[in-house]
Amino acid sequence: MAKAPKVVRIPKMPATAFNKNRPVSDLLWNQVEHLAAVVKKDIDEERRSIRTEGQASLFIKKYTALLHPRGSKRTGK
Amino acid sequence: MSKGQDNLRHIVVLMMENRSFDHMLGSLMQKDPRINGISGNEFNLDNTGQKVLAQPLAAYQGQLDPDPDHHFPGVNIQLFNGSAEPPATPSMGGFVKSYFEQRRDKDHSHKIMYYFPPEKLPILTTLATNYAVFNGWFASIPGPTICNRAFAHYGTSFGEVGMSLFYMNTPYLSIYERMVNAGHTAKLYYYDQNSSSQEVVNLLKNQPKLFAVFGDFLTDCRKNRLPEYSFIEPNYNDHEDDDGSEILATDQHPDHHMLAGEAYIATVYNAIRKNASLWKSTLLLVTYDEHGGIYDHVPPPACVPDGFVASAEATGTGTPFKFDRLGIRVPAIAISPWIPKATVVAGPEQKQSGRIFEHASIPATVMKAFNVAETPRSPREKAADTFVDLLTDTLRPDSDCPIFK
Repeated sequence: MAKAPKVVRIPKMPATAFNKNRPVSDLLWNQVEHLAAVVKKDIDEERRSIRTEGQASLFIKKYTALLHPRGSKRTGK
Repeated sequence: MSKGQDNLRHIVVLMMENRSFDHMLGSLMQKDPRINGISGNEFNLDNTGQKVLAQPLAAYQGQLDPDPDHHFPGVNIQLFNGSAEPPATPSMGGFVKSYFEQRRDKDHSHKIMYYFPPEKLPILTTLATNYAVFNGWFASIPGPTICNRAFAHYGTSFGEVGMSLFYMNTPYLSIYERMVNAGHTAKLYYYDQNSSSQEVVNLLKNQPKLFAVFGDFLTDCRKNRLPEYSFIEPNYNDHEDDDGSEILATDQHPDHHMLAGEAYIATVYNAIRKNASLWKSTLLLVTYDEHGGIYDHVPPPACVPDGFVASAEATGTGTPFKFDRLGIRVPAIAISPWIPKATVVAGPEQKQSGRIFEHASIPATVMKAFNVAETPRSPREKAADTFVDLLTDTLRPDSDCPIFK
């Protein structure tokens, strides 16, 4: 019979380990800054490329949906 | 070329956060004197001149608050303790002093010298003692996360020593782009959207196909779809899932719970280990981005300059930095059934035969292992040692390779 490999138990975490109210670390703050900068740059590029009413409408729709998701369910007619 | 290298089809790198070698693995020297860890004599002086020994008193959580300084000027104090500056050999005597500056609490500052006894980190120490542990794997820069992780992705930080990023229009492509451009496969797995990817958001935006989430990694392992090169990020924050369940950070960054990281490492290992064909064809590297301000006793060595210079203003030390010396030592473990049990890769403690690795060794190894056509690479990456040679001709039997449950 083949010898079984050694089994090492994965330790259990205490229930108290979770803390979503921990103050944000430098690492996470920088991650937030980096994402924000990329998205801002994206929006700026998108904004600057608008030439037509149709393009403006798509931009307006996209960001209105972010600000007011419920609006997508209503036609406005 | 060895049989192990012949059989190599996948390299997987898991990069954790902010722990030094001595803090995590230094205690193993008591069991195996070849491991360059804590002998019991290592110390720093505190602000009163009292000797503070490294002690096996590290706790899983609640001990390193505030987060120990690991920005360039803080690390400079940890390395040189206000004494001789580079190119002098670092004294490694300023860790307690640096931590004291953050809270002005003498007793608390001593905790920066604490390390884990092996039984408190059963996953990491099992891997270190069953596969290959590196005595000489150093962070790429004596500084924080972003610039260090950049060396794993690009083989350089393009002159950055801090937390800023946006490696746009740079002369070197990421290792993922290089792989894909050469007809190979590569993927960067981040944990989930709440955690996302650190630093490479420019790639996330421009090359979304290079990314997937951790659940995909587990599926890819199970279904034999793993790319040739995979880089895995841990979960960087405590957050709730869509169903409200609690998800712990697994990165081991202070003050996240250490055991969540242990479980994460075990999950990555098991995903590979439990697929017989994947296990025989994969080299897994577990390492940490930088030391997180925590004590290590080995002075980082000089290295090949990177061709970039960070200004005195950028370093915050009053002196420019030529990227000509490494950061503080971090844990690194290479895992494969082709690696002999209890391999210790000698580091700077062996003047003649010791080997030095840093995060630029990661893209350098991937390029070499998959024979990727040469593309412009940083001087640091070109000079970096590679570790695929750790794979030998002998495949260890299944019974000799532990599993985690």
